[in-house]
Amino acid sequence: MGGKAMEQRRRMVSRRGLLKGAAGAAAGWMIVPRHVLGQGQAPPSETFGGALIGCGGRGGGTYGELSKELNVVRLAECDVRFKDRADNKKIYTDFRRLLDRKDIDLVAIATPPHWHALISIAAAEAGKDVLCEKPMTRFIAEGRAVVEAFKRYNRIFQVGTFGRFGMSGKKDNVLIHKIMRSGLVKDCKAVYYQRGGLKVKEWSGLVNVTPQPIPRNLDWDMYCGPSPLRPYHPHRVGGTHRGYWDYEGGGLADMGQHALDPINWLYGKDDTGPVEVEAYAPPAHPEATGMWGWVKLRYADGFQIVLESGEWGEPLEGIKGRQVKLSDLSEEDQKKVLEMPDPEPLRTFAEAVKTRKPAGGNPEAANRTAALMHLSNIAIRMGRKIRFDPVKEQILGDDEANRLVNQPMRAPWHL
Amino acid sequence: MADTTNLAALVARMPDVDGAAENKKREAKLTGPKWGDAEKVFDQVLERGREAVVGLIGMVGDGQGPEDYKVRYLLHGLAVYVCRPEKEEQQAMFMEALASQLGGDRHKAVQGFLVRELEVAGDKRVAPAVGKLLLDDEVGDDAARALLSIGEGAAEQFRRALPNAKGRRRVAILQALGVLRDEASAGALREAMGDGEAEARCAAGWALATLGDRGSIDVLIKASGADGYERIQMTKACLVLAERLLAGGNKSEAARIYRHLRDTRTDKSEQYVREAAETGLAGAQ
Repeated sequence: MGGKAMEQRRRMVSRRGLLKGAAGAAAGWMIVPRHVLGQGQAPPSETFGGALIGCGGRGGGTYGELSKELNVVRLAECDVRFKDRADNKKIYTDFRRLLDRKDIDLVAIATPPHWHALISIAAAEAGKDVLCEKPMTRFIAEGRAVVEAFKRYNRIFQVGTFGRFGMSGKKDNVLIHKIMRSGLVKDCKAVYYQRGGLKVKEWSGLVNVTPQPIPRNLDWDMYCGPSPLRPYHPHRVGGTHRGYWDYEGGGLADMGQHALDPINWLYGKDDTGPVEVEAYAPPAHPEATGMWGWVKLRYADGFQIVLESGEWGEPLEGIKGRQVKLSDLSEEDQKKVLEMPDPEPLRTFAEAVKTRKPAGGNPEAANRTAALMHLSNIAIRMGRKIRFDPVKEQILGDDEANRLVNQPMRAPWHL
Repeated sequence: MADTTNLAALVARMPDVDGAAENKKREAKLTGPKWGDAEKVFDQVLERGREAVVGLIGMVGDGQGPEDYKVRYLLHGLAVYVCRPEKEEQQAMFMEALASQLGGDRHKAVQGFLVRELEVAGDKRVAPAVGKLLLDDEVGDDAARALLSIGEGAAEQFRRALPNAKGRRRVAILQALGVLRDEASAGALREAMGDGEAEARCAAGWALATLGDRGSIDVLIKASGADGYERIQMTKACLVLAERLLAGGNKSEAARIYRHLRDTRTDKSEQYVREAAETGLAGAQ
C-alpha cells in the first residue's frame, strides 16, 4: 500500500478518531431509543433508530425489509463511496463510527458479502439488531462466528431472503418438514434438483484486466476490508463484485441462498449440513469465479441436493427430483409423524425485534444454507470430492480444501 | 534453464478468454477446460520438474497488464492439482520451487502471487521463506494469510517478526497470534495491551481472549473501561475470555469477568452488555 493510502488509513483509524465516536446527530429527532427502556419493552412510540450500511444496488430494498411493520426512522447511512461527502453525523464511510451511536437500534447491511459477517458481528457487539443481505457470508467459519455473536449479545439477525416464509406456510410442506425432522426416515430417497437460475456466466469475473486509478470518492482500502488489497478495477465493485472469490462466490453463492434456503427449511436441515460434496467444473481461476457444470451434495440420511448450471459441460443424465413421502415410512411411523406438533410459524424480522425471539432467517439457519454454497464452491475450486463433518464444520482428510472453510482475513479485521 | 519454447507452448494450451477471436484486447471472462484436458498439461510440467515450474514463474508479469493470465491460471491449476492425496512428491517440489523464488529483486506483485499460491499448496516446509516477508508493506498481508492457512510452523514466524513490526504489520502479527491461539505469545500480547495505537491494543486484547489466557483477566477488565469502539472491542474480549474460561472449567474466574461487566455497564445504552453478563454469570454459578 502506498504512503498516501497508509497515511489516510492512519487518520481514519487513529485512536482519537475511533474514541470520538459519532456524537448524537439525532438530537433533533423525537424518538425514545429502544435501549433506554431495556429488554422486552416496546417504546411507547415503537419507534426505532435505523441505519443502512452499504448504499448500492440492494441498499434501498434491504432497508425496506428492515423497516417493514416497524416504525423506523432512518438516522444514518454508510458507504465506502461516500468519501467526498461523509460528515460523520448522517453520512459515514466507516461503519464503526456509525455503530457507536446510541440512537441507532436496527441496521440494514447491503455491502458486498465479504463484509456481511464482520459488520453483522460488529453491530451485535454494539447492541443492534440486523437485517443482512444474502449471501450471509463469504466462507463457512464466518457463519459460525455470526451465530456465536448474536447468541452472546442476544440480538436479532435475519438474512435477506424470505422464500422459507412462503414455503413454511403451506400444509403439504409442513408435512414434509415433519417427516424429515422426525428422524424416522432411514435412507432418504428425496432429491432436490435444480437446473439453471444460478447466473453462472453472468456473475463470473474478468481474468485479464488492467488496474485502473481508484475513483476519488471510493475508500478502496475499506472496500477491500478483510479481503486482499488488490489493484483497483471497476469490475470488482457494484454488482459485478460477485465474480471474485475475494468478495463473493459467483452466481452460485449469490442466487444459491435464495434457491436453497426454502429447501433447507423444507427438508429440516437448519441445524446440519451435507457429508459429501462433489462438483463437475473446470479448474478454477485463482481470483475470478467461473463456469461449472453441476454440484451434488449428499446428507448422512441420504437426502441429496443436485444443482446443474445448464451453462457448462455435458447435461446430467438420470437425475430427477423426488420428494420425500409419508408412504416412505412404515404405517406405524406414519402415525408418529402425523401426531407430531406442527413447527412454530417463522417469525418475521419485525416480530423477532418486538418479541426478542429468533427470526425465521436466524443465524444458524442462514449459516447452514450459506454453507451449501460455500461447500459447493470448495468442491469446484479444489476439483475433487470433499467430505464434510457438519458438527465440527470441517472438511475431512483434505487440509488444503479445509483452508477454504476458514479463510484468513486482512488485519485489522478478524472474526 | 527450462526450455522456454516448450513451456510457452504448454502455457498456450490454456484457454483463451471468451471472445478472444473477435477482440483480442478486450477484458473478458474465461471458460476453463475440462479437468482431464488440463491434467495433461499439468502432468507435462510436473514431469519436467522444478526447472519447469521455475521457468513458468519467470513468465509471470508484474500484474499491471493482462498478458500473463494464462501462465497464472496454469500455475494456480498446478497448485490445486499437486494437493491431491497421491501427489505428495510433486507438491513438495512445487512448493519448494515457489518458495525459492521469493525475496530478492523479483517484482513484489509476482512475489505476492507466489505467496498466494503457497497459501493454497504450501505447508510448514515453506513457512520460513514466507515468514521473511511478514514485515514487507507490499506482500506482508499475503504472507500473513499464507502462514495462517499453512498453520503448522506459522506461529514461530509471527513471533520472530513481532519485535520489529510497526503499524499495520504489527497489528497483523498480533492478530495472527490470536488466530493461531499461540500460548507462547501471551506475554508479548499482554505487553501489546499498552501499545500507543488502539488497533494494536484491540488486536492484542482479542488475541488474549481467544487464547483463554487466565493471566490476562485483569488487563482486559481494565481495558474494557475505554471509550467508543475500543470499549466495544474490549468488552467483547472480556466476554470471549469468560466463555473460554468457563469452557475450561474455570467458573470463578469467568464469574469475576461477568460480575465486573454486570456492575459497570450501568448506562441504559449498555443494558444489552449487562444482560449478556448476567446470562454468563448464571452459567458460571
